[in-house]
Amino acid sequence: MSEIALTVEHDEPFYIANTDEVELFLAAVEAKLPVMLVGPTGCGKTRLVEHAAACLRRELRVVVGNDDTTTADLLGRFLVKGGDVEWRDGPVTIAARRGEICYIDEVVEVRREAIAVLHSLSDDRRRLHIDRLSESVDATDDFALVCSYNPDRAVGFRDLRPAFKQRFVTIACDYLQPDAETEVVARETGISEGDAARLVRIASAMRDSVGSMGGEAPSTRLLVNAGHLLALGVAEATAVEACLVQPVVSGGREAEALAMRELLAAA
Amino acid sequence: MRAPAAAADAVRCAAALARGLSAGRRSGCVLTTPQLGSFGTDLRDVLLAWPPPEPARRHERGLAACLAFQCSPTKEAAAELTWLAFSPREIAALQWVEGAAALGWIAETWPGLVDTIQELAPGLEPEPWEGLTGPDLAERARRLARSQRGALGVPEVLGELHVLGQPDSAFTSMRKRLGGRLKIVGDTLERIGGRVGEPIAIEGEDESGEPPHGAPLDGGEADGGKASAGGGIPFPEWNITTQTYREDFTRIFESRIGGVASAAARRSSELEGWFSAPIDRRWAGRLPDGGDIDVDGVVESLADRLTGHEASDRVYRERLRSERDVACAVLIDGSGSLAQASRLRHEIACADALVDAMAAAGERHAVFSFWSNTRHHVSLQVLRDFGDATSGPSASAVRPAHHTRLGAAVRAVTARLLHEPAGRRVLLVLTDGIPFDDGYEGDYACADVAKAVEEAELHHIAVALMCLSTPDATPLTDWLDDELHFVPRLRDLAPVLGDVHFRLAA
Repeated sequence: MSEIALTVEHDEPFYIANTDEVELFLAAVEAKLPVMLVGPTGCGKTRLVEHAAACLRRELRVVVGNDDTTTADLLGRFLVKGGDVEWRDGPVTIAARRGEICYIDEVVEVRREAIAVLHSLSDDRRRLHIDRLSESVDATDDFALVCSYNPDRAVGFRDLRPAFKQRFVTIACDYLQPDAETEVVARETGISEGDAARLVRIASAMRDSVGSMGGEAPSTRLLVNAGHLLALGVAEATAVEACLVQPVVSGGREAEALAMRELLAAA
Repeated sequence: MRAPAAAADAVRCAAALARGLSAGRRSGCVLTTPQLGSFGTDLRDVLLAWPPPEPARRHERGLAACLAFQCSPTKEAAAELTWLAFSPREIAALQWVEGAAALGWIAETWPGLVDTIQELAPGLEPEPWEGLTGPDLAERARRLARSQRGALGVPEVLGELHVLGQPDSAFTSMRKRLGGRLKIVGDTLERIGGRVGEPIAIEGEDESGEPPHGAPLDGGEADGGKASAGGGIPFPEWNITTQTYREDFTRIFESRIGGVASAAARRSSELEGWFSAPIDRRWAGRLPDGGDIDVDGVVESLADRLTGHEASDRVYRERLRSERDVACAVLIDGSGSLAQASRLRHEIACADALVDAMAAAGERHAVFSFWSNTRHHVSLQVLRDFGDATSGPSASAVRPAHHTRLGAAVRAVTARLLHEPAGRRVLLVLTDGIPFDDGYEGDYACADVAKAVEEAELHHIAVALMCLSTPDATPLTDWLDDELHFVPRLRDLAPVLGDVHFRLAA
């Protein structure tokens, strides 16, 4: 059974926009249109959703998709309590009833039959059909459906059907420009701008090195992790190795790992 | 870092380094022979001589330092010049001043390499580089050539100043003569796009594959037919002329490729997507958790409670992953005809991605490659056997060689598949679709391949041949039907192979 995150309550999280994605996100929600965020892992998609939810003053309900995510995980299920059978709403149903933002992360990993139940919720009907209850739930006005995925994963059998994708306002997300990324790393970790800038420069060279050939590239999230370690006094080479090199060069990519270490030494 | 010992590792490392050092202006690395120089660039790739030159081999940061010079934007300035206008002394001076400007770029962009470079090139000082043009370089070079007496020694770390389209460039004239580029294939060098020359074997390369001593190389007609009794497993071959089998006509030598290949294929998430078919699932009941109620379980639990017994909490059901009752063999044509580097690399990457998907789906699977050197020696290499642990040598352990006695290989793998207990058996072949060996070509070879496929299908094995060509480029078109799947463009291999596997196995 997939794990489902509970409601996230938060202050307005720090977010630096790459382009006009915040305005676009807010406009789509106001127009009651579902939003799809597409971008590499760790580039800030979830942070954008959290920031937008805070701007809108709405609760955010997060589902992390994987290939075990079922219809029941999204809509709800029957539970046996003592001698009784009770219905328990799933996160999508709760969000639709209460007017929350429902965010399904890594939606391409979710089983096809589970995604199908979202079709009627993501078009102008904004209605959820719960077959097990023989009930239809009309989403309240404040409900918003947001999904995200990494385009590198949406290939072949994992790709989303056009009938689903074409229901969404799709926002392309990417890593920030170096200056902005430096500001994010410095602010999130408390390290100096100079140290943050150096980490960003190293990561940028590593992205050119391995990312351009279709491999995983060090993400902003990994940069922040490295910054946290630097802030605690861990040596730069150790932090970079643990946070930038090892997470992206697993499984027979020792040659690429060597190259990344050389880039660090050369920087 | 010194240059890695294995050529394949070195070129991958150098390619990744070059992309990072140049911010993507250099896209890869090409190995060259030492006669063409040490390091260089054609502005698209960096050129690395194999074996690597002294600075790359001996110094800790040697490879990075040498590559950094080739990644410098001053190379683009040098490319504006015509070498015919320079005397030999001025050419040496040009290399020196361009190197100094490149060092200026390195000092600003990659300062961690400066100490290394000062050791490798004492006396080389950084010069301004921003906005530098070809004429600027030429002026600096002529001034240097006039101002100094004696020879102008060019440090080896600077590499060769190759310039595209310049007739005096040693690399350019070599390229034109050969009509192609030198690229690494596995651990050897081959010319791509021109005449195929002698591959340069890297020390330690496996040299097995020669036919047994004394075995005739004439297709066996002179010796009456049976394959040389020098070991191996005998298999028949179909003779289209007499419409009978030639019994014990070929010999299969099976060998195991052990360990993890040094040039393991990169796992591409894009390729994985083409092979990650929906996982088979079956309803399972009496579970402690699940998306649905198991009514029988609930009734039983209630009855137990009402009668004073301990009530079970296993009252749910769910669709759980189940292993596919499939045994799938992948047979890779490892003959020399598939030695074109990019094609073989992609084929290998697809095979590896397919293997990962089969392992994830719980399919029993095995991977073989083959080549032949007459009917007396058909080599079948086992990269992964049925029942092996999921980790193991990738298909990149394939070393292309010799020829394609395809019928024998199909029969050998068919025999292996028949030993696997499975509801469905599948044989996937990756080939260029041109069966060829000594005494094995044309209609004879095609008829034998068709017969071998027919034999497999008679045993209820689903066979699919992925031909990396077009229908008019393979003679098998006239001999096979649904079993053939054409992949005219390399990038279509993953979707075609993934789709075929899904339809046959899932």
